[in-house]
Amino acid sequence: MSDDLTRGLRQLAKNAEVPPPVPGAEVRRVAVRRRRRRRTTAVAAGGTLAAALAALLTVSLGNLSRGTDDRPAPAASPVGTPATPATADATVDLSREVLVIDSREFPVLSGSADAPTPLPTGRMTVTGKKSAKLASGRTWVISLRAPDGSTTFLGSRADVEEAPGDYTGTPGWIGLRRDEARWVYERLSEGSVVEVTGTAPTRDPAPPSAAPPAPSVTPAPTATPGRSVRPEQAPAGTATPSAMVDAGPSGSS
Amino acid sequence: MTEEEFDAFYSAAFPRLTGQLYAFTGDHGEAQDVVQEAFVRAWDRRRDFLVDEAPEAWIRTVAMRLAVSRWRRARRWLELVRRTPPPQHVPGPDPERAVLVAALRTLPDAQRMALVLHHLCDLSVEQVASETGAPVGTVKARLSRGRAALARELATAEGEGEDHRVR
Repeated sequence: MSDDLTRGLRQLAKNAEVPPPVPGAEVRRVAVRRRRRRRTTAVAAGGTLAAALAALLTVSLGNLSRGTDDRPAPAASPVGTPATPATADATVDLSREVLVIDSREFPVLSGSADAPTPLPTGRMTVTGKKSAKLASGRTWVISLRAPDGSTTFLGSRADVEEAPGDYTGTPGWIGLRRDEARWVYERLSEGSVVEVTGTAPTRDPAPPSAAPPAPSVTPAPTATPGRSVRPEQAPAGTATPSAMVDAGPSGSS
Repeated sequence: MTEEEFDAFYSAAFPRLTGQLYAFTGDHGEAQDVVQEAFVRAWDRRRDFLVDEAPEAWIRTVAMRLAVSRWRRARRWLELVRRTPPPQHVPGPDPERAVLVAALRTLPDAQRMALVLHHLCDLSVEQVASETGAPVGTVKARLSRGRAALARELATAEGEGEDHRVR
């Protein structure tokens, strides 16, 4: 049995061998970028609560843990962005109806601008997570606190499996497809920062899916989570993540 | 370790390690992901890494730990996100291999890790013990239980013929 097992395992392993998908230089680059990012985060969060720092570091590591991710490095020079508390861990662009995380984009259902209570925008902090199915059929729910103190939820919506972009959303919810919601859920933890930008398109008879990608309503902050801090929010945002982490409920993740 | 040395080591060891990690995880995509991640960490900690006289074992240990930690929980979602899930059972000339993969997947992580390290990576029982941080007696027990369970699984699979035991 042992010999058979060894032989079987060797064949199995031999057969599964693959050449490196990226060159060694790329691996080194990711390692260096991650280190730089850690340092930047540490500097930016320096002096604030240790809890916030730990949470942000964890998230940074988590986000960078794909070896092949090619998100651009956070805006250049080490001294260039003192006002940036930390790069957002995810960005929701309401105009384009996408959530960008880890270089991936997922379609979202975010309600419309003419809804009774449009979604607040700005830097939001994750205050809790719940993986259980709620009565509404939603799972993988993350609660976000906006700078104005309001709460928005991010999670799956049973009714949007087909096409998140094709329905008018419920106010206060950012809906994702279930599997994608889980993927996002795994990557965000309490204290993570989610940047919400743009304005949800006003719904009209034209099917949104047929429309071309919204041209430059908010040009810069869309595709790069690392650069999407808007100037007017930066100073206030500095204190936000730590405060939120500290005040947030311990959640049930 | 210089950049050139690292790159050469990476090119040489990556294929072998993904093969070994595949035997452990039963998942091509995950095997590649954890090995890649282990190399990234290796470069970041190359000073510790230099001290270690067996860099390949270092990478393998890190990769295996990643495979049993959060990486494992994320596996399914990674596959979904990739949208091109790697074939679970390589529809190849060798159905035996698919059966072995399926049987391995039924074992607890600790047993599977001991089997792979001992029977595939040629580590002695003592080396397996030091690499997994378990006492020698425990490793021996894991090996024998793992082998027994595997033999049972394989016998069952044989009895059932072309049964795809996908869960």
